[in-house]
Parts: sequence; C-alpha cells; structure tokens
Amino acid sequence: MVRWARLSHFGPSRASRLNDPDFIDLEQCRRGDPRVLASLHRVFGDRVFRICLGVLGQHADAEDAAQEVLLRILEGAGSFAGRSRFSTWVFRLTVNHCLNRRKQRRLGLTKLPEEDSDEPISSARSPLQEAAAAEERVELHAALARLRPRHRVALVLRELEGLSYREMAEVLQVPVGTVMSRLARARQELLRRLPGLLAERTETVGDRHAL
Amino acid sequence: MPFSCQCPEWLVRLSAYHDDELTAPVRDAVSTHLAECAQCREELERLAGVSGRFASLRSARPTVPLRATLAAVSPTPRRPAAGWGVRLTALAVGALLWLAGGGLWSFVGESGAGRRQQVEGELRRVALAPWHPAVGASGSHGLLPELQLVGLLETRTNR
Repeated sequence: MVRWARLSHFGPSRASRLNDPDFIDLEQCRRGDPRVLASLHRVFGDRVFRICLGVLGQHADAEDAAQEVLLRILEGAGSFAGRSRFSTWVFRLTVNHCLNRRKQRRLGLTKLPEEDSDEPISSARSPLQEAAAAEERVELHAALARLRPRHRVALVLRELEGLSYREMAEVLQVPVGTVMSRLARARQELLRRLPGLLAERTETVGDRHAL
Repeated sequence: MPFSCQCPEWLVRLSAYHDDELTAPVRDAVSTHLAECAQCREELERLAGVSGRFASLRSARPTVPLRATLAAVSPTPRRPAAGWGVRLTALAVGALLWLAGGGLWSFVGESGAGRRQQVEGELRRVALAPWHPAVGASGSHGLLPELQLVGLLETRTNR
C-alpha cells in the first residue's frame, strides 16, 4: 500500500518527508488528520474549485462540488495506488465528479444550488471594471456550457490550471494527440460562441477547414 | 518540415503552437509559415484572445472557506490502530484476568467455607422464623425441607 504522496511535483525532493509540505502521509489522510486537511486545502483547494467552476459554470454549485471532491480525496486516499502523480489523481477525481454532477443535474437527480450573488469582488478594480469583468465571466460560462463536456474539460484544464498536454493526457486517460485535437476543436467552438471574439473574426482559412 | 495552412490539421498545430507544445522542428516550421501568412497570424491572435478570456476565471476563489467546512464535515480523527505487539499483550492480560477471576469465584463460591456459611445462614433463617409455612410441614425424614436441603448440601460439601 502506498504510504506517501507528493502533493506537488515542483521543487527539490527532500530526504525527510515528515515535515515536507510537498508530501502528505496517506495514512494520516485516511484518518482525517487536521494537518493533512490543511495541506490538501493549501495545495488543491483553489485549483479544485476552479476546475469545478469551469466545468459546472456556477459559483455556488462549484463550491459544493469542490467540498465534495476534497472529502472524496480524504475518503479515497486508500485507493490511490501511486501509479500516477497524486495531483493527476486529484484532477481526474475532480473532473469525473463534475461530469457526474452535471449528468445528475440534467437528469434532475440533484438540485442546482441558489445562484450566487456573492461572488467575490476585487477591490482593486472600479465598479465599472468589475461589472465588465462580471459580464465577461457570464458570457464565458454561457459559451463553455454549450461546449461538449470533453471540450469544456480540456479547455478548463489547460486555460485555468495550465496543465501540460502530457499531464492532461494522464488526467483524461487519452493519448497526447487526442488532447491536441480536443483543445483545438474546443477553441474553435468557443470562438464561434463568444460574441466579442466572433465580431473580431473575419473569414479566415480556418473557416474553410471545418475540423 | 514544411507547414501549410491548407492542411486540414493546421488548426491543431496552430493551437499546440500557441500552447508551446510542439516539437522543435514542427515549431520552427510553423514559425516560418507565420512570418509569411497574415491570416494565420490573425488566427493565432484570436487563440490568444480565447486564453485571455479565461484570465477572469483564473483568479476565482470560493466565497465559503472550504477549509473550515471541510474540517467540520471530515471524518473524526481516529487514533492509530494498535500494533500486533500491543494487541497480543492486551489479549494475554485479559486472559490472565479471566483466569484469576474464575479461580476467585471457585474459591469463594465453591469452597467448603463458603458452602458452610450458606448452610449456617439457612439454619439461622429457619430458627428465627418459626412462623414460616415450611415449619411443621415435615418431610419424609421428619425434617423441614430447608434442613433436608442443608443435609444434602453438607453431604456434598464433605464429599
């Protein structure tokens, strides 16, 4: 059974894993140790939330989903076999959870939470800028929601989390070539669906070649 | 490697070029093509525009503090499971206590002294309660049932 998992694959490895913030003790994870909760939250909290937001499109829904995912990580740490990086396992779990949640929502098995009006507002921007940014976010979510789930997931993993093609291939369990073509198709679809970008677009060679 | 925007896969390559995920020879070929083709440069700019749209989502944070909620609903921390050494020791201590308890019980409950105390108690009860319904209802040996019982117990104790 795998005992240790490295939370991040960046940075130098250290001899002692006990106090290394890059490692978590899976045994402690299974026992729900508060220190492990803190590490998991520090490394994955925001990232898991962003993936959920990108795939699900609603702030409140994404918060619920992110909490569920983090709990699943705690509960399912025992099933982590160490064949991939721990982060890959977490992202795969997140993506699958979000896709299942969407499916259940479509089937009416789960209820959509109340839409958020309390999305965090950046104090660095003026109200006008904030309103414009909020409008852009709404447009982007609407456009993403109309993409095929696999295209949406590919865009979210790349554009929000900055995963490399190889990492995406591991998370999605597909060849790197498939990741390349999915991303290209997703971007073309999004270009067609985002009003601002569509207006900028003139007829290009790309339009003559349907993907 | 020659690169042409007439190739049906060109958008895939352009997208991977935008992500800097092409191998060096393919990337060089795309760069050479981009230097000559204005339409492809425009397309590349649009891809950058798509990526730029995601900037507002990259800073998204949960409003509810996930950590606090997580700590509240996560499984209660359990004590680490005891090793085999501890388990075996506990088992041995338990067995010893059980044996000791059994011996004490047989000493108090089954010893002659204990039995004698029971018999004496029974005799005292009969002597102090002449009104007892059993008194007078003599048995086959002319003894009260309680005394018959005492006799029987005495016999067994002395065996």
